Amino acid sequence: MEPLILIVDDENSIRKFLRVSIETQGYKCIDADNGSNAIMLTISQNPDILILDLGLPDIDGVDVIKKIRTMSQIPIIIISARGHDREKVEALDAGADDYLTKPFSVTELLARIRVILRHKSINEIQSETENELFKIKDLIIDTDKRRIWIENDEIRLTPNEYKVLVLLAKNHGKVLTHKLITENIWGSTGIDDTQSLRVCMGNLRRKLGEDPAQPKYIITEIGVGYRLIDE
Amino acid sequence: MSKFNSFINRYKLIYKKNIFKNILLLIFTMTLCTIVSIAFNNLNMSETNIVMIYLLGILLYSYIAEGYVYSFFASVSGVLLFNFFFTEPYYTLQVYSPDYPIIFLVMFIVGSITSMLTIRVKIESQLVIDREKYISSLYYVTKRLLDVKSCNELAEISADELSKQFNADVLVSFFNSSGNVTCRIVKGEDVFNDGADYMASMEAYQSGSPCGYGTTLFSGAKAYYSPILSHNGSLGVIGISLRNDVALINTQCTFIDVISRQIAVVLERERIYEKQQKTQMEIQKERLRSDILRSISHDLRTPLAGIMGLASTAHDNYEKLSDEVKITFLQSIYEDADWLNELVENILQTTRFEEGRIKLNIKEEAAEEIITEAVTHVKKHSSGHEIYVKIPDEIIILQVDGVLIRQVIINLLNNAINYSPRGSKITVSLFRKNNHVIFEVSDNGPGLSQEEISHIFERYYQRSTKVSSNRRGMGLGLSLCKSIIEAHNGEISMRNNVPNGTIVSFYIISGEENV
Repeated sequence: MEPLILIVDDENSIRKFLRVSIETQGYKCIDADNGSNAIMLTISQNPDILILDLGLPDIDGVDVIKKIRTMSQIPIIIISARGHDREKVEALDAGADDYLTKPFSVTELLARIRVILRHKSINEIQSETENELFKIKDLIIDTDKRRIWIENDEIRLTPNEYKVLVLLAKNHGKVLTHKLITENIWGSTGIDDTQSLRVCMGNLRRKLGEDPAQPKYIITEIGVGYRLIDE
Repeated sequence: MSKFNSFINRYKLIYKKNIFKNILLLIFTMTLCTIVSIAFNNLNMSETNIVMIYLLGILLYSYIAEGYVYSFFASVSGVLLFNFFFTEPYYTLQVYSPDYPIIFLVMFIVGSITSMLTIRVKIESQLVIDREKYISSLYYVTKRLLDVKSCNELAEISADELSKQFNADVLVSFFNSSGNVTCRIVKGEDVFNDGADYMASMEAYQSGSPCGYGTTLFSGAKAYYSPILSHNGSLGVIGISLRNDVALINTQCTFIDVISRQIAVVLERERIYEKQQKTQMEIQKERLRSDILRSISHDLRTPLAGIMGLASTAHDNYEKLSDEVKITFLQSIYEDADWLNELVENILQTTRFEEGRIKLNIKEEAAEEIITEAVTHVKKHSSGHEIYVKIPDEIIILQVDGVLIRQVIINLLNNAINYSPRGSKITVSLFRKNNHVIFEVSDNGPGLSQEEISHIFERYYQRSTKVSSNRRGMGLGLSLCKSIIEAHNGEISMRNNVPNGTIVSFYIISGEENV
C-alpha cells in the first residue's frame, strides 16, 4: 500500500504544488490548512508522514508537534521560513524528524521523504538490532567489530568520534541537532558542550578526508546540527 | 536700592568681625587727638583748632572703621573728650559758658554728617568697582557660553566659570523634554547626589524656583539650586555649594539668575540645531528609502519579466515547443526566481539591521563549517565557476552568529560569481593571524579600479561595469556584509588580486590563541 502523506500549510499555492509533486511520486496525499485540522487528521487518518509548516494561523507549529508527539510517533518534516532558525531547532528538539527551509526544491523534499520511509521500514523489519554494517559511499562502519574503513583503508577514531559517527550513520539522511548529539555522546549534563562537539566534528572530518568545498559524508547545517549524507 | 542694602548687610558682617579692632582703633584715635590737642592747648592755640583736630580724627576714624554706629560713637566721644579736657571747668563734663553746648552740638553734627558722607562715598565707590567686576565677568562668561558647540560643552563651560566665580562646588545638569537627565557636569566635589540635595535639585527643576541651602525650601540641602529657565519651561538646574556653610548673598543669586538665562538661550539654540540636524538626517534617510524603493522595483522587474515571459510563452505554445526548450525555460524560471529570493533575503536582512532589530545569536562555531556550508549552498545553484576552499589543519572555533557569517560568505561568493566570467577561479581561504581569524574570498575576474573599491561598501552602490552577468545586486550585499562583520567587532576590506581579480577579506577576533 502506498504511503499516505499529510501536508499542513496555510498557503493554498504551496499545498497545491506539494500535492502535485508528491502524488507524481506515487504517494497518497491529504492536506490541512491549520493546526487543529492537522491534529485531527493525524489521529483519524493515521498518515505515514506529516509535512508541517511552522507558521500556522491557529496553533504554533512547535505546539502542534508537541501535541502530536503525545499520541503518535509519526515522522514529521517541518517547513520553516528563512531566518527562523531558533524556531526550527525548537521544533526539531520537540520531536520533529527533519526540516526544510522555504524556499526549497521539491527534489530535496522527496529525498527527505524517501529517507524517512526507509528508516521506518528498517525499524519495522529489524527493530533494534544493535550491530549493523553501514555502507555509505566509500565509508564502511562495522559496529560489530567497532571498525571503520574508507576505500579499504582503516580509519582510527577516538571513542567519542566513533560514537558520533555511528549515531549519524544510524540516522543517515536525517538531521541531528547539536543538542541531540551532545546528549547522546556526553550525556545530558546540562553543560553546553558545543565546543567539544565542534572540535570532535572537525577531527572526524579530517580523518574521513572531507573536501571542505564539497563534503562527501558529513553535511553541516549551521545553527541546527549535522547530517550524514544519504546515498 | 536692594543692591545697596545688600552691601550694607555685607559690611555689617564685616563690623561684627572687627568690632574689637574698631574699639581699639577708636580709643587710639581719640587718645591721639587728645594728646595733640593738649599740645596745642599748651601752645595757647585757640579752641577752634582743637575742635578741628577732633573733627579730623572723627573723619579719619570713620573712613577706616566704615560704620555709621562707629562714626556716631566717634562723634560722641570727640565731643565728650573736648568737654572733659578743654572746657572750664577742666576735667569735668560740666560747662560754665553757655557757648559750649552750641559748639558741642555743632561739633557733633558736623562730625556725624561728614563721617557718614565719607562712608557713603567709600561704599559707593566699592559698589562701582564691584559692579564693574560683575559686569565684566558676566560679559566674559556670556562670551564663552556663546562659543560652545554642544550641550556637553555648554554644561562643562558654565560649570567651570561658575566654580571660578564663586570658588565653589558647582553642578550643572540639563534635562530633556521628558524630564530625563541628558547631561550632568560637576566641578569640584560632588555633594549634589545626597537625598536632600537630589530632592532639592529636582524641586528646583520642576517648580522653576530656587531651592536648597539659603532658601526656605529644602534648606537642609548642602547647595543652592537654581533652575535654568527658558520661555518653554525648565531646561535644567544649577547647583552651587559654597564651602564652609556660607549662604549666597543676593548679588550672587542675581548673577546666577542672569547666567542661567544665558545658558538657557544657548541650550535652546543647541537643541534647535540638533533637532535640525536630525530632521536633515531623516530627510536624507527618507530620500535613500525612496531611492531603494525605486531601485528595488526596477531590479525586481527584470527577473520578474523573465519569469512571466517564459511562463506565458511555455503555457501558450505548450504543444509547439519541444521538451528541450521547455526544460531550458523552466530552468531559467527557476534561476530567476532563485535570484529574486536571494535579493529579497538581502533586503530583509538589511532593513532588519537598519532598524536594529537583529539580535546576534552568538555561539561557538567552527569557522570551517560555516565556509563549507556557504560554499555548498552557492554550488547548488551555480556551475561554471571553480570554487576552492583552503582551511588550516587547526580547527578554529569562533564566537559568532553562524547564520549571519554564512550569509556574508554567500554574498561574497555570489558577487564573485556574478562579476567574473564563467570558468573563473574563486578561492575561499581561512587562516589565523595572531588573534584575528581571517576569511578571504578571492577571484581572478577582471577586478576593480581603486575608485570603485573606495565606494564598494556604500549602500546602494553599484558597479558601473557589468561583466558576465545581467544581474544586478542593488549594492545591498556588501553593505549588509559590512554591517554584519562590524556587529561582530570585525572589519571587512577589499583589495586587488595579483595579477587580476579582487580579494575581499574580513576578520573576526577570536578569544583564544590556539585550540
